[in-house]
Amino acid sequence: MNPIIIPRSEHPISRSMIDEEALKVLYRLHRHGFLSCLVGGSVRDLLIGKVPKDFDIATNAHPHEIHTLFKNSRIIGRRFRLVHVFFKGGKVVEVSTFRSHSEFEETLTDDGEILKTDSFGTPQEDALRRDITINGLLYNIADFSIIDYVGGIADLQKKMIRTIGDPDEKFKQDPVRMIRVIRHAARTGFSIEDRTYRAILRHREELKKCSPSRLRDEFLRDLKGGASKPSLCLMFRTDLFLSLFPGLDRVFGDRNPFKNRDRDFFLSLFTLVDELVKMGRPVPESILFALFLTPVLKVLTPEHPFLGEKEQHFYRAQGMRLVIRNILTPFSVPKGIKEMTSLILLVQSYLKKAIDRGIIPRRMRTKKYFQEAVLLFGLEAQARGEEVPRLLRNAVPSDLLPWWPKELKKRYRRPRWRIAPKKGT
Amino acid sequence: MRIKVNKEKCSGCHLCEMVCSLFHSGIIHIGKSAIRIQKDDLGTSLNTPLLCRQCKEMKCLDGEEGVSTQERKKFIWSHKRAKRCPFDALTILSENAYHCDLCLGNPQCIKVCTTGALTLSK
Repeated sequence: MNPIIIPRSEHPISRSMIDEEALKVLYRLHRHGFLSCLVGGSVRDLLIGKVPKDFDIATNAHPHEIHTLFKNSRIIGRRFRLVHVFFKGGKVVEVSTFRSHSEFEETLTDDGEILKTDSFGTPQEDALRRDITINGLLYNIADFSIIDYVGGIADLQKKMIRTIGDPDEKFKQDPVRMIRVIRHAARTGFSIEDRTYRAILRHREELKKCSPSRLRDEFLRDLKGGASKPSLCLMFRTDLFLSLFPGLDRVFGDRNPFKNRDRDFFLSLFTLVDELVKMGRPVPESILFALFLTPVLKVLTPEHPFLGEKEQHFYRAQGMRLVIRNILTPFSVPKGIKEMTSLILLVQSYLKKAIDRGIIPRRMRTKKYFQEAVLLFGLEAQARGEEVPRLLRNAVPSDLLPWWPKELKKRYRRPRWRIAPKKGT
Repeated sequence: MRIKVNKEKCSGCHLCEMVCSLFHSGIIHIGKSAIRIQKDDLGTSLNTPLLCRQCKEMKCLDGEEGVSTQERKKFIWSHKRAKRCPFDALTILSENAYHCDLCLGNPQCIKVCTTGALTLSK
């Protein structure tokens, strides 16, 4: 298969757009006679005009050869070995050797056993093993050209997300790719190719076969990426969301008569998360889970009709903990984050009470989770179009709730005693 | 196999009710749980968990012939059967009655009962 080679004069990627450290690695590999290319999302982002988050480099040098060239490097990974090159200021450049198949594809031997060897390959094989066409582009440092084996340039121009090769086969090999396709479509605003879209609809139930921790990581990347709302919208449209969380059928599925109202509220919460991410303020995972569970808990934990106020509180707390455990445990969410999520959600009722009373007790303000609980309260209030009382705003740092700047009460000062001027002077 | 109740030990935390409905229906709803906690009318702290006693002679099925084992092990029954129960053990919600199916051999209420009011007897 002949690649399409786009010379420097025909594409906008200049070396000044590439990170200094990444260029250093690329040049050193090239000087020592190896083929070195910038690959993956960084090339895509540079072509779209976005600033890439990280620069991944692929080369035909083996990991130990890369390690000998860079003293400031470390070989990582058990099954697929990569080299991390460390630079000042905590910067890390990931260098991998061209591979012939993906990390999560399982290659079977003739005896039916899973092949667990490094499978180095050619640049073409490396491009073909990737999931979507726009991620399969290579930027060659030797002549500053772009090498396109998969038709990525054409798809970038058409603004289309398409899997490399047969989508059915790709999604069967690794169903997590469906979430990745949706994430890329949401982030770039591109449309999903019809064949790929139909393949997602066919294979969505296969997500259940994937490792829960991988699903959790991919889903969290969706939420943290700054395009969580379009991503969740697409997930609802393809029903991938209910395949991922079958237990939430009662909340977002047809079993809930108010599903549209609950979906809208859920999406409006994540619109605010996107706003925060775009402001450069990362949202902690516990808040993301708490936001995710807020509309869920409203439906799944109704109040007990015969209990008194105090008992009702314990009943609600127990119910919340049960539901949170039920939803998050299958995704092997760390215990600390699960506990923090539960606390943030439980403290919401206390916050409401404190606001009604007009004072936030010191014992509440000094809790570790107080700021996160206030952020959740603020996000919920903003999604509903309500205001956060000044009392709560003033109890937290001014940049925590960007929608409501801190309003400090003017401190009362006793008027100065003025000495009356003496008569006759 | 049946669930044995020691009502003196029950603290009335309602966890068993919650976990039962959550396990079977995916929602916390006291009306959709096979176990329910009855509070004493006299205002004492006595709480009585009520659930199917798995009687050998099932009075609830009186008048019905040839009820299959599969049908007997179902969680959702008709409310007519609940009215025939001499212990008033089944929860009724509109047309349905909720009957303890022992969670396919792994009762969830026993797992969450920390006071030991619910135990499994074989």
